[in-house]
Amino acid sequence: MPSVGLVYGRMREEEKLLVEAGRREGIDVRPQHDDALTLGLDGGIDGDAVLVRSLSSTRALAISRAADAWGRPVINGPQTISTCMDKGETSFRLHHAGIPTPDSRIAFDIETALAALDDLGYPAVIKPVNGSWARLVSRVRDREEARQILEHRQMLPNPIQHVYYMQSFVDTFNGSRHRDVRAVVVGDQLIAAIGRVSPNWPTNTARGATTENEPLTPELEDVCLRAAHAVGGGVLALDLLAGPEGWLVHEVNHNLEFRNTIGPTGIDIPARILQHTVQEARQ
Amino acid sequence: MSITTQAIACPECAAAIDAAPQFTGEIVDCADCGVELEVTSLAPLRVEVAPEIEEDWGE
Repeated sequence: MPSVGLVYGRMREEEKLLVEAGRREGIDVRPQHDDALTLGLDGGIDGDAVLVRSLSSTRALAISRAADAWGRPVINGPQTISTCMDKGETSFRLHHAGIPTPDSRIAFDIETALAALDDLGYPAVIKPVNGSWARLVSRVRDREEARQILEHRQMLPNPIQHVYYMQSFVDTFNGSRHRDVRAVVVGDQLIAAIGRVSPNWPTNTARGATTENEPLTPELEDVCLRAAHAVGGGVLALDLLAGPEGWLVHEVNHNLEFRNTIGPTGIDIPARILQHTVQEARQ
Repeated sequence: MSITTQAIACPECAAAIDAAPQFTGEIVDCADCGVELEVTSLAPLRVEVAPEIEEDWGE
């Protein structure tokens, strides 16, 4: 059976669960800290296949590109990571693949961004194009709030923060809680989904949202598999909202944190990820 | 797998910490000062104050 090089930046609960799943499944998992890697012309990662779990998306993309160039099976592939790292590109690809997604815009100038927000309507959401864990995600209720957020962003030193990504706000508040859905796609299968509920917005488990099982309906499966394909496929976590006309996919994540999805769903997600990685290596 | 507990000093407050990490990159909390420590070596056991979250960290 092919071995799996598990490249990580921090040994989180997810990485420990992957190592444990490897022991259970009889899969040779070889953990390697990305600090210790040197990538050369012919290699630098131990393992027949590479499972990229670096906490840094910049490192994850560099590692995936290297492994792909060596001809080594890698999960996720560089095209998928690159697309998922850019929320704007993700939105545009989803839309052009016919996946319902909140209306989204990118602008580079504050006045242009404000005009785009006028067009989207308020409330709206302003996000970094490449952030995670809801960092710097802001819901703005009017033009004044939007200008304040954009002017703060303009002062940040990283030029990527001056790429203004704006999205229509989809209101799921039912009077007591907001809710969105996190779905896990592994290869060509939707394997698990949870509802994330919170009295606060955004409903991110990194910010204390609670979770509950979400039934895997044919409609959910269809939109998730098409969305996963639209960003390049692989092992993905999709964030969805229930809109008045059905599911909307609002983000796709390439480095999923699954610890909060195992309990409500009972799915052995780390084993499924490893099995998929081995299967890819055999093809 | 047998895991040996080793004693180290917190680099922030010098409190004694007993830890038995299996991997570099694990996080150990100091019970005295609360700082998060990242395991940078297993043999011998070494820790450093864990880096702050960077802009490109996450999912």
